[in-house]
Amino acid sequence: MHVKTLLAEVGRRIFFSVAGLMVICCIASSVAVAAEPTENAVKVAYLYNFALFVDWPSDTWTDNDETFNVCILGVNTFGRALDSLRGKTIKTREVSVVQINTAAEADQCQILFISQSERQQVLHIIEQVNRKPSLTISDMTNFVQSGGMIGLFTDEGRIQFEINKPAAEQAGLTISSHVLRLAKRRTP
Amino acid sequence: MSGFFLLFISCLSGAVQASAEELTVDLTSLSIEELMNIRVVSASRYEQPVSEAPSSVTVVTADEIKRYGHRTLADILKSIRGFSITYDRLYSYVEVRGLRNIGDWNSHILILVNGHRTNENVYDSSMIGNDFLLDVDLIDRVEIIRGPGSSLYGDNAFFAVINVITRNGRDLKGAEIAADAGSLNTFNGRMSYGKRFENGAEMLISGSVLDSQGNQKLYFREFDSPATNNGIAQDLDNENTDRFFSRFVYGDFALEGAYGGRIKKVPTASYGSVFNDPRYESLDGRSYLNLAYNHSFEEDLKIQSRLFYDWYWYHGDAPYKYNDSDPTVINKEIGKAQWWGAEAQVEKGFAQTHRLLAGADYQRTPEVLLQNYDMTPYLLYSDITNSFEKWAVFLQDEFRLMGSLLLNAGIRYDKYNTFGGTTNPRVGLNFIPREGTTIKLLYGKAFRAPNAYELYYDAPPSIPNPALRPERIRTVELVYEQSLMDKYLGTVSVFQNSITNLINRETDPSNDFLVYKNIDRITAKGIEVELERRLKNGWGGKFSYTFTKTRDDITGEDIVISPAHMAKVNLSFPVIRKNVFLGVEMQYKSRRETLTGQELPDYIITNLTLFGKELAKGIELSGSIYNVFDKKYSDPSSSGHTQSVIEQDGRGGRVKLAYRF
Repeated sequence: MHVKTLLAEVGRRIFFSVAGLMVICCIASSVAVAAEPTENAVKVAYLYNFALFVDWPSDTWTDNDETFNVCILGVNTFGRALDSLRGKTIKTREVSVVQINTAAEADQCQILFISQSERQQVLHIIEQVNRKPSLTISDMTNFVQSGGMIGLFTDEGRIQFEINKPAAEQAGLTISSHVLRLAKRRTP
Repeated sequence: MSGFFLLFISCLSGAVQASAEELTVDLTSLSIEELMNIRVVSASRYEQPVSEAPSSVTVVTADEIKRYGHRTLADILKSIRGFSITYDRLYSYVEVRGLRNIGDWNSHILILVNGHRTNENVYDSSMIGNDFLLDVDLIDRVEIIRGPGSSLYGDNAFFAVINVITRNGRDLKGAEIAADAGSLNTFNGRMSYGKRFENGAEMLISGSVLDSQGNQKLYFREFDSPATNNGIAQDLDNENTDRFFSRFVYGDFALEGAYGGRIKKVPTASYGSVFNDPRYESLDGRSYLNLAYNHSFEEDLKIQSRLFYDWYWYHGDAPYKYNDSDPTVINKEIGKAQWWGAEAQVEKGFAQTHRLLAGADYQRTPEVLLQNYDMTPYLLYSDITNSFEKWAVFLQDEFRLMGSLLLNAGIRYDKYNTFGGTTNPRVGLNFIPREGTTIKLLYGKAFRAPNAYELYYDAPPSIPNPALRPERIRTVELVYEQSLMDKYLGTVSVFQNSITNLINRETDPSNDFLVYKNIDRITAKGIEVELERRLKNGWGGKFSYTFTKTRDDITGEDIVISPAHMAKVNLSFPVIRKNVFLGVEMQYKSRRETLTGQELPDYIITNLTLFGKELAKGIELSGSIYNVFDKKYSDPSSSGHTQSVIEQDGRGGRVKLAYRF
């Protein structure tokens, strides 16, 4: 057989064996449970990352055993994406995810994520928590204009954030300049 | 190759691991910058997760373009499953899943730049080689949406919609200079500047120049006689391109201006012209201005609108000898159009169950000029101007029947002043039985309107046919997508495309006139599989295989102008530290036949690219070898050629340097 034809034949065989392997792989993979990098996963990762770049007042915790509380106020749309926070530590404290239903329960929340379901009451909620050392974050529209600290929004398919620095300062929180630099202004 | 097997073995072992422990996506190890760059949604006229798009979608990122050394949009599309590219030394042509019409200029795909149509209004062509009006360096990502898209986009969304999304001012943060030098004396230079201002405004301006000498000698067997330089076309492969792009964003407004002009020598003596005459050249110019206004209201309401003005001009100088004793005359072909239009759409979500999209498009082409004349002695063959007008309305609803079941139904009505109206529906049912698994059942219809050239071109021996009807395609597709450990994505797709009313040129035997008619009917069916590993920890890749069977429904015979089997491998991994990557690309095409029945053997092309990122501050360097094994291969020619096959380039290379400051 001519060398070139032989090479073509070998090439073809390699291709089809890889194709076969791939089909097997797909069947195998369909057994497994897996997930796309969804919007929720990115938002949860943001919650974690912001915590790394924000300083809470020294008197936030009284006891060494106290956890770092990430609270979700309102309808929890994150679902299982929050699982990725389990077992993590922030500021050397174990992370605890807490579901709350009213702003009055937000006392011990270092991060307070306000769900879109609370859009109607957002001004009232902010008023109740704005002097407490809780980093308020939401993906509802006009969140920072309503007095919230960090607003998440989607721009051209990517999740970006805007920051209301005075609101954070008022609550005694210091947001690292690294994060401030990366913040975007949401186009109105 | 062994690297590729490793990928599969790791995938297999991954599958076993994954089934042992329940996995959720953990992105907390990523930095804020990385999070800001994750694309969570894609495709369609509004943004949504790929798994919910009512199509089979592939997204290519700027990073992948660099890792594989892609020089043009054609290079990018070569790596996409189901896509095949041919080149006739003037234009590059796209075949999608076994379908291509010989004799048109990519009018069966719609190419958008930031949502703006780039197909022009004379020949309907979409350009993908160096004639594409955007430098690939300015691309942020390319979304390839397979299947009929006319229910949203109207004309040309026949085989696929390709949406090219550019970078923004914020992505540049200063100036960028890029220069590359490649084989065939090809040089390319680019200067860009981008910035995001304090008030949120952004600007991007960029200019590029390409100059390629091409092959000094091209041999064409069909012209091998002493009278025609023994079949050698000397210095007739030159190509020159100028490109300019600018984009300004302020608040809800985005203003974009683009220009691309290319001059290419034509070595093939097409349409019976004189062989080896250095005066044969083609010029394609394309330009547009686009003003977009998008606004999001509270209560999940969003409007998107655009206003645009477009230009296209073609000049072809072809040398002819009408009698052996006559001197050679230059015949000039001109196709020119300017058009403007407006588009608006409203999107509204209702309580997580319905997402309604309604919109309208309007476009007016005041003048299309089709001219053909001999220069000296001057003789006018054709001088036709026509005007065109079209409008359309469309509606789409995405209905979440249950958490796991999504119904997407859309319909669009297009009205043309030429042939009348056409209605095109699309229905997609996405079933997500569990996170990571998607099953899509898709049905859709699309059309392509007869263009100005097909309707009215009137230079002998062509005669016009204003009675042409739109071409039609009907598609049924079943897609199974499985993602795994948030890195791997497996796709299996089974599809059938049926085309009717396909427009082709026919010779009238009674008078030898050439005329476009709705003559052909074609059906292509096939299966496609792909496994992709997304770039993570510096490495990623994909493997795909496509089988298609294409049949001429009139003769009942198989058509093998496009390959029945295609396989593609792309693999990129770090080789030196974490910033120098090797990109390996292999593309296999099975045997093909030309229009005249000549057989073309199968072949594999291998490309290698070594790409260094941030070698020093702001410096990127890459070196590529294309067709590493110097494989000799040819593509079937398009209509208008004496040659039935066109030989392609052998081994070539490129070195590219980019500096950001």
